Amino acid sequence: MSTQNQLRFGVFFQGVNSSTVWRSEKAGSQIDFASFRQIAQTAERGLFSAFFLGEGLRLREHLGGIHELDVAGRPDAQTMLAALAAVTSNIGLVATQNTTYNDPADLARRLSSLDLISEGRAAWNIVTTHNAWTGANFRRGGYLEHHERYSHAEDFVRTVRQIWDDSTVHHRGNHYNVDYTGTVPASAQHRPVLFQAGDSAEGRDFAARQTDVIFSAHVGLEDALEFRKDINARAAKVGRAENSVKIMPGAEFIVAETAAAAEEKYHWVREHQIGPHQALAYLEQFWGTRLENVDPYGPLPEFDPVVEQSSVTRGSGFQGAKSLELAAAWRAEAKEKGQNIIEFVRSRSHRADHTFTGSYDQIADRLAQYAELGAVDGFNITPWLIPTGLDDIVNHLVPRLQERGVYPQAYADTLRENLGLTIDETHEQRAIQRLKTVQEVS
Amino acid sequence: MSEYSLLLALNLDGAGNDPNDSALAALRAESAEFHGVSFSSDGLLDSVQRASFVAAKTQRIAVLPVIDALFTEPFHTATQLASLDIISHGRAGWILETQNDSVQADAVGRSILPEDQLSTEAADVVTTHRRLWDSWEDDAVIRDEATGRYLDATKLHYADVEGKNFSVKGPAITPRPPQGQLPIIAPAPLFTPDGLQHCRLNGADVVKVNAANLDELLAKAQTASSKGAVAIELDVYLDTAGDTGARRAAEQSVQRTPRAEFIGSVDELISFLKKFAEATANPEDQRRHLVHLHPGDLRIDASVLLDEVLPKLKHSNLLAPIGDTLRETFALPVAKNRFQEAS
Ligand SMILES: Cc1cc2nc3c(=O)[nH]c(=O)nc-3n(C[C@H](O)[C@H](O)[C@H](O)COP(=O)(O)O)c2cc1C
Repeated sequence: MSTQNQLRFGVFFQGVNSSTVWRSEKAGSQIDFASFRQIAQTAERGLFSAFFLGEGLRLREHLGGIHELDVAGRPDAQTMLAALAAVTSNIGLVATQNTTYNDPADLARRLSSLDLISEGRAAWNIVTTHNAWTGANFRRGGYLEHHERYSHAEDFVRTVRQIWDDSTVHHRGNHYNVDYTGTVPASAQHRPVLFQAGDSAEGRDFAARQTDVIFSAHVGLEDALEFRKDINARAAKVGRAENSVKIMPGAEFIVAETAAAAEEKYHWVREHQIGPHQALAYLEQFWGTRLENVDPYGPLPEFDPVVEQSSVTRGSGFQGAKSLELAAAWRAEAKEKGQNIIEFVRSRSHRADHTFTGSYDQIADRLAQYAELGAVDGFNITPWLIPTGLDDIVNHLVPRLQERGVYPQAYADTLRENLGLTIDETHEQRAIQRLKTVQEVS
Repeated sequence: MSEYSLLLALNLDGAGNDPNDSALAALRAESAEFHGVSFSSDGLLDSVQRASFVAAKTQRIAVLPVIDALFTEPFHTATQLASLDIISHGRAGWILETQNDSVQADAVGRSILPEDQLSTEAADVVTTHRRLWDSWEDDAVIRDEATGRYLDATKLHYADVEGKNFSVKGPAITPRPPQGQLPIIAPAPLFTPDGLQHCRLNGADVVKVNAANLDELLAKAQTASSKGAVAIELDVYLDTAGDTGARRAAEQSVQRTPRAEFIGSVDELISFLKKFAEATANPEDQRRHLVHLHPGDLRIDASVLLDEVLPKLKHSNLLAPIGDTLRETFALPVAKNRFQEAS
């Protein structure tokens, strides 16, 4: 057994946004169970630690209508993961669930249930989406202010953890009261693993206090090292050991036998992710108006955005950017690089620096360096094609990582162990206690 | 006609916290030709998750989770049920309950509802599900490369539900489920004129009647069946080679449920089921009616049902055929999309 740091892979089944290619015969269904099963089983063949589902509780909109250009339509995360538990044996099952439009007792119960159903493979990716626009689908509506999102999230997560650790909770909070006694016994990993995705200072502190793993957005080596340092410092402040908060950035892999073949693939992927319509729509969310008469193969529009702040695409994560400033900066940038609109948008798309492109060996070497430097604990891979998008990675990259001693050779029993997380003994004691309580009650 | 109108569902509670036991029981029920298996929300494993796990392991049998309509989020439960229908390829149905007790209410920081508001609240909740399930037309995903459009926005619709206690905007985040509209089985008291009464698009599909004894149950089922599909629930304690159902039922007396009890032999149960089929028979229509069986002891009574009752019924003319979807099994018409009709 090597003493090298081990990298772990997760797969993030996106289901929305332009990262998944649909304009190709190779693109399969985004909603059939068969697609989810195939991706999960391929990932399991490659000893991936986790299968992730994201969450968006309102369908994306653009310029006042439903956004038409990207894949959309997703299943309920935990319902799908329970079905995947039936057709997989080892891979972790991670549900992204927000703290704003769920009830802590209900979520605690359902996550415990998923943890038992999967025999200790469940995790919760904690997100804090909190806009009134999403709230329009829920009883509570838009009740939370932006600055409250993490104090609320922390309250919420504490409540959930208390249910898991102690069974009984009587909580009085600003936004809700909970009186509840959990009835679901603990699983083999004691409680679901906690992931967090959110990047602000508050988000990072929250992660350092409450969670096991961060689903980060810091992929480049320098950036990843910087982020690791930052998280370690925050964790140290709350008494957690170095590297005890695991970090798995979201990343895209475009790999092939040779560097040239990977480069060719890269262009194919980008062309199919962002075509002329997607490029214009990307600008429209900052310009605030239809750009139907603008040539996507020409320069960025000379006229100014009609909105102060981008707010016309909802559910895309771009709310609130300063449109006028951005437009001016982008025009200058595109001009300098000699890019037309499509080229500019393809290079702008945040994936540009989230992508590993190269031959299997090149990428294996690069990843080994991440492992050696301890920059990350693994990657959460977004496949750009469903349902075959992991095949190359599993067939060719994983064996090379194993040869280099930086990737697991086999599964352990639970997700917690597969992620290299240690079990907190006090938690273990509490979970055992809880099991007893539950047995006495029932 | 009373031939081929009987549907049977088996409740799988008591299978414990290993979902593989539920799946095994469901597979046995499937090969015995039960029409469905049901899962209560009994505070242990989540009913929808159990149904989903079982759906992935089975082919033909319907999966029926019990979900409370009062202290849940309609947007979440609509998404969960649509997802279950997608995973099961159209085999999902919803056994709706109104669990108006303070344990449920306190868990989500709300208060129990006045009894006279249950039916209107349930109606708002059901309407929300119905409208969300229609909010994507069947062909909303167009994948039109020429225009770069994955979706056709004209085929997506806001649900725009304004209930008494909540509102939901929509559209759903999940495409229209394979059945279009999942069959909903709901308790008879909710079928008030401003509750779940069969108004064409927003009501429930199957009325579940309850009674303290079997004769009363048959009488109620008969009355209800003139208006639509009916379900009854029975706790069953069956005689076995070495023991009687009556003795075992007597032992269970601490945990009696509000359901009617059937206690007796295999042949007596079969003749009761025949009576139910005759009572609910309607010469005019092809409606199917459901008997939802709760084994007093999952190991003993479920085994008698699977090994003795179902094989005998197979050779009678009582059991309805199993359809490709649960709607088909219930002989419900194809669910038209309210938004599509309007356009
Ligand atoms: C890698 C990553 C993945 C995310 N995935 C989701 C998601 O699936 N659903 C969601 O509602 N929010 C998601 N978020 C958003 C975060 O939960 C959070 O709401 C947002 O980043 C704002 O928090 P912040 O101000 O701390 O960054 C994600 C964030 C990151 C960094």
